Amino acid sequence: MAGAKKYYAAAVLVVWLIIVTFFMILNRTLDLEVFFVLSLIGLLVVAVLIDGAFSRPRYMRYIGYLIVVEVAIFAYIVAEKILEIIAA
Amino acid sequence: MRPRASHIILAAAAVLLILLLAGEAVDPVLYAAENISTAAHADPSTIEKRSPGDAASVVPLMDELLGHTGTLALTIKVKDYESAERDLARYSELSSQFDRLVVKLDLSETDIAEFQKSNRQNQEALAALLNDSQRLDELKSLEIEVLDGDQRMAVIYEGEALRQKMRETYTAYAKREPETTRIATHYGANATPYQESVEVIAEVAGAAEDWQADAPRSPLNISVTPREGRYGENLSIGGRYADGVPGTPLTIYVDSRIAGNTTLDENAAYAYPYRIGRILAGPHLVYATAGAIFSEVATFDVLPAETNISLAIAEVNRTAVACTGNLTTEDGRPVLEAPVILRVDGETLISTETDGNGTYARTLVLTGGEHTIRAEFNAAGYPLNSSRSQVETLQVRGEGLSPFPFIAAIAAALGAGWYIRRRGLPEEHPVQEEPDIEPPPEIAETVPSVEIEGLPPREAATLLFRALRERLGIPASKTPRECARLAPDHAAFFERYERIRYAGEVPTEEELRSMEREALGRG
Repeated sequence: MAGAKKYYAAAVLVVWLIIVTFFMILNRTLDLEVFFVLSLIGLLVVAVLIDGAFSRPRYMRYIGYLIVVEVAIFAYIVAEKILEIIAA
Repeated sequence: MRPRASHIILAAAAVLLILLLAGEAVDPVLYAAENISTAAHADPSTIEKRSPGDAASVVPLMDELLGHTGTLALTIKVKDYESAERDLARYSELSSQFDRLVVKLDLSETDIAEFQKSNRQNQEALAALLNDSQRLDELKSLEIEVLDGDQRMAVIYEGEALRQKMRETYTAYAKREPETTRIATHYGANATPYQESVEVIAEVAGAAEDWQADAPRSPLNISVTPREGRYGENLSIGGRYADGVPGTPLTIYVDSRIAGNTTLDENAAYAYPYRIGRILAGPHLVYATAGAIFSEVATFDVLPAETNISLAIAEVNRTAVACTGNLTTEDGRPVLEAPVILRVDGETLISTETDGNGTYARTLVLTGGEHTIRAEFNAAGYPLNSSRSQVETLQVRGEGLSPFPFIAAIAAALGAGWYIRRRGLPEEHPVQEEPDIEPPPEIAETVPSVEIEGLPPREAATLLFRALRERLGIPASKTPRECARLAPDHAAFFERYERIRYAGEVPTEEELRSMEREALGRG
């Protein structure tokens, strides 16, 4: 059961990304930035939900690294948007 | 397939996908319905909904507009100016309705828009014709009353100018007729009243020509040579002043505006070189005055000419480009101080002006990426035709990447890493610090006395848990799970008690005995 958790998490994340893509197509706009931000939100939610109270499996450490990288990219996007607004 | 191989394939596919997406990161909008790159991407949902009711009213409105031109021309011809004013007001109202309809139905790229443009011009022409006819009638009656020389000349000049204007109005009106009729016929509208209006306007303009005020012969004569010219050419306006004294100053007027001054020479003659500049193509009036003496009126024609505009682009720095070029007529004459528009990416318009050599120069600051620039000359007010340069495509490097987003990204990564690490710590530390916090259970071991006979099984289990905890010297604040971690040798006891306490399980008599032995250290 515990081993299957990570597969459930991956499946939920994939479903979330498909939902995001579906609604983006429905909205007739495919924007990588929006997609990235929504995928990060999905990953954060999944990470919080599968994180155990008393144990820390190895995949959680890898998810942690992934979150660090994604947060860095997110910060880059936000900073760039701020610069755009300031320049406008 | 071995798991290792499948992992490698999966990782390679993920890296490939990330690299492909990274290529698009500079312009993250992969697709937007409004911003399509090819016709194949056109999205019908972006086309505004059209109301069939509106579309059906286009042709009847065209019919009505054409009908009004006929009525209006007739009322002007019979000099029923009151009715003409009313007809014109109604015509303007219908034209406005038609304009709104064209915008609403988004017909700006069709020949209906062409019809709309012609109709607007027809409306302006008819309004001008009405005013001019009224004014000409006033002049006719004024001429009879005025006997004074100067005033009489003023009436004559104005009458001449009006006739000239009416001729031009008619010419332009008649010129639009074939195209407008074609469009109207194409949509099944009745163009007959409109065609009749052209004939009626011809009669109105002709009637104006018949009226010639009998001006007294002026001693100051005037002529223009040659009688016609194009932009940039020089015409000579000259003549003789029969009674003039050499050195008498003269003022030359073109279309009632002062064009320049000259003086009489020793032969009582004068000459003024007139360069054709920013003046409309078509016939123009010229006369001269010497004090109170007015000359007769001479005319000359300005012929339209084609223009050529060039565009050269040079990079100034990473974000700025210099746009330069020349604006010349077809025979190579520079067009001076003329407005030039630089159209960037087909939409942004930037104005500049040619100098005394017909050259323009403008530096543009652009964002990074590919841009297109085209120079345009809209010949409004010039006897020249509009021209456009070739579209130039350029690549602007743009400013270097700002360090701020990178600093923000690194800071965020460090922050996120620290936070994630910090969240993990409380779980790991107690295990490491276990020997420091808690004394070894064996040292603190004391044998408490517990009596569980006659108690309900779950209460008995609680007593035994407390007893064991006390015996091991574990503080009373610790939960069964914490106790299991602190005393791994008795983990089974604590886990069993946890299930009894929190999961509501009831221990059997045998289990209680076993727990009692462990709690009291009799095992």
